[in-house]
Amino acid sequence: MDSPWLPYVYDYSVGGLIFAATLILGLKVGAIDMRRESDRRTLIMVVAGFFLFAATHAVWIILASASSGPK
Amino acid sequence: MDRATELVLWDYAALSVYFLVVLLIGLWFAKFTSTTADFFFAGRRFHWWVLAMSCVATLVGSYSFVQYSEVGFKYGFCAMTPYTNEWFVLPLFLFGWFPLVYYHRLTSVPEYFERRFNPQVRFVVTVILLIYLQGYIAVNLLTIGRIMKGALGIDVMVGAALMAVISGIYLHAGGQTSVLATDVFQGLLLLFAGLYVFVMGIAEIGGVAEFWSALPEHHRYPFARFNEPPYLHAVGNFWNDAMTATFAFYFINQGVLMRFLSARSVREGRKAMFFVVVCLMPVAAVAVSGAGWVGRAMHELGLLPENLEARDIFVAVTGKVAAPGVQGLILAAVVAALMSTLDTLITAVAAVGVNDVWRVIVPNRSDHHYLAVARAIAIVSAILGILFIPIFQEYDTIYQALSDFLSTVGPPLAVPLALALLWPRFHSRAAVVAMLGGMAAMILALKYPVLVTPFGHGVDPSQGYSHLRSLYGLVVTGTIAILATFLIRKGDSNPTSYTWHTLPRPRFIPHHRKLRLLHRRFHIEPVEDDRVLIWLHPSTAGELELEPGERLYVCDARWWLGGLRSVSVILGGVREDLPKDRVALSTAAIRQGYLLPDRKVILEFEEEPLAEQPSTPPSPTAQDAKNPS
Repeated sequence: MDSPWLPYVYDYSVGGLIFAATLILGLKVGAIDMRRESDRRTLIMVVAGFFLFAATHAVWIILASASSGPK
Repeated sequence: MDRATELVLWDYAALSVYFLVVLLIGLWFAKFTSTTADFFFAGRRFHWWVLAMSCVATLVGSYSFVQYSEVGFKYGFCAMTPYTNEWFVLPLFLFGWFPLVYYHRLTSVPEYFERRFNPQVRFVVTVILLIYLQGYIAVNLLTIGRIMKGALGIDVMVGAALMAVISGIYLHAGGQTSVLATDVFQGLLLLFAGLYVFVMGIAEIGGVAEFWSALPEHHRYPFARFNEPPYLHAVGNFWNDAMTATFAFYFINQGVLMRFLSARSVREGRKAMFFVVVCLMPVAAVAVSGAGWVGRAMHELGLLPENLEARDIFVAVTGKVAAPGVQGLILAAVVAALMSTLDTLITAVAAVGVNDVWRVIVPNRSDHHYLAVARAIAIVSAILGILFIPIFQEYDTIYQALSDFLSTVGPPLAVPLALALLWPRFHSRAAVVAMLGGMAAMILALKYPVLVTPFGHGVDPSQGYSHLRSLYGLVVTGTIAILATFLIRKGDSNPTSYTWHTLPRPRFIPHHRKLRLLHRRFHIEPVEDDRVLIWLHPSTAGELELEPGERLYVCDARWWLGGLRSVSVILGGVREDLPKDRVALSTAAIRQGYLLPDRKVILEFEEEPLAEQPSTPPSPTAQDAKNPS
């Protein structure tokens, strides 16, 4: 079996690149306006949510790897 | 529920009550529909939690319980992946597509293409989108027809027709408002039913620790293996689900777009989307996959037959853990998952049919006329869905039919839409070439899977690269689009208003002004007037720094109505004779917002783009206030 981390790294690196590139481009073209409280709050929530899911998946993989099953 | 299940009287009773409740909710909410804006966008008045809850029901398709339970049984927790990987396209939706469509008051995806390019592109997109939506409706009807056959023993076509008739009745009457209301109920029902099976299953096994230790080790990981087996792997999940299907669902699916356009503001829509992705989708994933996971644990412990087929696991686990009557409720939840997806799609077809076809052929008619046409199209769409069923009956599994269908249409629409939004240089001819070329490339790949090999990531080609066809489609359509943009003589383009470089901005309301409206409730003083206006006491207007002509949102103070009784109004001026705790509302505003004069209301500032603000004190009609652009 391949490493359980490979899909994780692929998802969050390729997907993370697309995620980050979209945010950076949005900031650059002004679609995300950091002077506005609404945009600022949404941006923080989106980035925090992304890392929350990444962290949850990482902890899950660690727990699954640490436990030994019947097979 | 692909095979016959043994239902008892209580199960039939639960199923009958479900149908009755859905019909009653749908028909009762029909009284909140009197214009096309109500029919398609529920008056653009709803709060985030209504949209979020109703979205869950739409996101969970009719095939989800059976399909994801099967995946969960075979492969474990990775069945959750399609419900937890929506982050990557989220920024473009929240900061680009949704505010652009909302602020420009666009009514459909094809309309965006006309504004961005020209009517010819709109025509092409309309045709593709209608095929996409009608095909999706047929697949959903086929699924429910098979479920009804398994559960009740009735013919597939009869079961499908029965569902189409029930959806058609409340859709015809209430449109999007009825869809929202029934979907909130159905969303709660299907989450409850799925979680019930999961929790009862764990209890049957003996607890969480026993459940976890009974699972095979490779079932415990949240992701599938990287590139094997050929029909389910992480790399395919990423490109097919996370990127293509998610983009298609939120950006191209007219029904989902209309759901978010029912929000009272961009802020409410964003909140709804965020709540769906962070909270509701993971819960929905457990609800639809849970039977598969506990089924696997039961199977390992010898609590289920050794020769049980994976596709029957949902029925097997449900039969084992559900009490009499609850099984009927769970069947109702499966039906709810269908009905909620089906009604969203039919409303979407009605919207595209009226806004992109009928209004173009028969322009300048009354709103009443277009509302009647929309209702007629909803019925026709349901009938067409039934007629299209035989096309998809050719496939071995419904999931395969859906997957092939969506992957053929998804990338050729997704790439041009993304480029139209992000790249000002992208023009009309390049958009058409990319769509048609992309579709041709996808059909070729279905026939010759070898074309997908360069994108194979080492996946065994024996299954035809069903998941990685999406990556191939994205790359090929993108390449065609970029080459066409540079090589073909420039076509029409209106990048100045319809890319995310030039998004309209909401007007800036200082925080201290918003705070002054917090926790304040007002009684209503009705005023005979056919304009959609509000008048305030001079001290209230002064305190809030309001000038005549300013837009305000008036909403029934009962939060649990979720904005059902609310209206966007324009400040007509001040009135000395009003008490401070009262606002005067025109009868047109009360009527349009379905407000009750004996109920208190709250006020909020409207934050629509500055460009749409009237520059002089207004005398708006009801229609002006609803559609300020």
